[in-house]
Amino acid sequence: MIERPRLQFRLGHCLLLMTLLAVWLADYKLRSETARMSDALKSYSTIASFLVVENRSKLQVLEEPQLWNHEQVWQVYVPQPTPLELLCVQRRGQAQGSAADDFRTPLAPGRHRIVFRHEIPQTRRTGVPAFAGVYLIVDEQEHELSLRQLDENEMPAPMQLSQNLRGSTKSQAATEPLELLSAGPTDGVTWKIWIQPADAQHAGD
Amino acid sequence: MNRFLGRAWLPLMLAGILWGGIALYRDSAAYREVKSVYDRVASEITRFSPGDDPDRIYVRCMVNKPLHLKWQIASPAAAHLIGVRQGLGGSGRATIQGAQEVICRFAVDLGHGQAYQQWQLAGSGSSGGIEWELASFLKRHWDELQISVAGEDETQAFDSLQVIDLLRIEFPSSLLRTAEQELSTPLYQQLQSPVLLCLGISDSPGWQEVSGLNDMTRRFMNGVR
Repeated sequence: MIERPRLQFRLGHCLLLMTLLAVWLADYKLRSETARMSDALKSYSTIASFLVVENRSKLQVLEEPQLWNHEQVWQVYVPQPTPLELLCVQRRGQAQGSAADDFRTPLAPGRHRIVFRHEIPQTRRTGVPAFAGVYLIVDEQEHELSLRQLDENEMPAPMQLSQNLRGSTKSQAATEPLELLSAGPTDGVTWKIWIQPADAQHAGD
Repeated sequence: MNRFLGRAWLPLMLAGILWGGIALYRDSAAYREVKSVYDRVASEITRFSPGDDPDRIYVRCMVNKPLHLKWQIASPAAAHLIGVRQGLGGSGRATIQGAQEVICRFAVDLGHGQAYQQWQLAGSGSSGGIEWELASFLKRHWDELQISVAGEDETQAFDSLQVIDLLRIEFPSSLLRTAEQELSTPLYQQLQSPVLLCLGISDSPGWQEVSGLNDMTRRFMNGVR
């Protein structure tokens, strides 16, 4: 009769010990698998760029190496729970006044892909109308920021896209504004794109 | 001592389990984050496994999406390679000086009424426009094009004296008939020779046997030899 409580005591502890081991073993497996995938992603970087989130509490941006002269692509990670927004501002020179067509869109926590494109014709044929357009694509959603029909035989110059981050990843506190692009003046317009807390004033002005 | 341990174990273990649970919860969020990217990448990018035979050139198409292709090439002997391209409004060539690892790319970008193309052979490349009518015609008839891509299914080993067709896009005669009706004459004529991206060592006899070269490309080829 003395043996029974001893047995119960050991079984309970055994179960708890097994649970403890299982939990930590699962955590170890999870972490080693995460590290393995992160390393594999880094080894692919010569083929394609992927934002590997190192710190989930920071705002992180990977500027993809430029594939096209007319396009700049960023991969963005927005941490919980900070509400952020993406702003794109175009400013005309003094000659045309200061008309502003600002574009802003909220960025929910998680991953985003942002593409800025300045499309100009590479070749012109007489009699065929041609256009110069600026587009911002946020998570596959395209926004036309400017579109202008070109004069006959007009060949606009390509926009010099800045490559602020030189194809690297930037990580910073989400409370600070992060500039993605500052370009122009092209056609008398300068362009600025940045990420900032949703309630902040225009940090780029 | 035994009694003390008997009492302390239970809260210690419970604390350990709780702590482990919290760690597990936090690490699983990081795991899901990386896994979501990794799964997408694994479906887009393939594995390159070249050998080390100096008489071979190993080719693997790493990115193969419509209008964007990227190859990884290994030349264990670090041969001096020549890359030649033809099609979509021009020809060109690039010299690759004795590199063991080379990346080549061909991409077409369709914008709003503008189309761009880009060829890259190792570090040097060229980019320019394609006539919008031609680019959108090819996009509409993409499934009818006869496209062959080197190293599409696995790492392919080529004899180092061979000229490798990294990319060859042929236009079947039925498509050419449609093109004759839908496209202007200069654009239609651009489809008379295949789109090509070839790679080989500069003094390879294989350059004489590459089929489908147009006059402009041949002039570049004469510069090669």
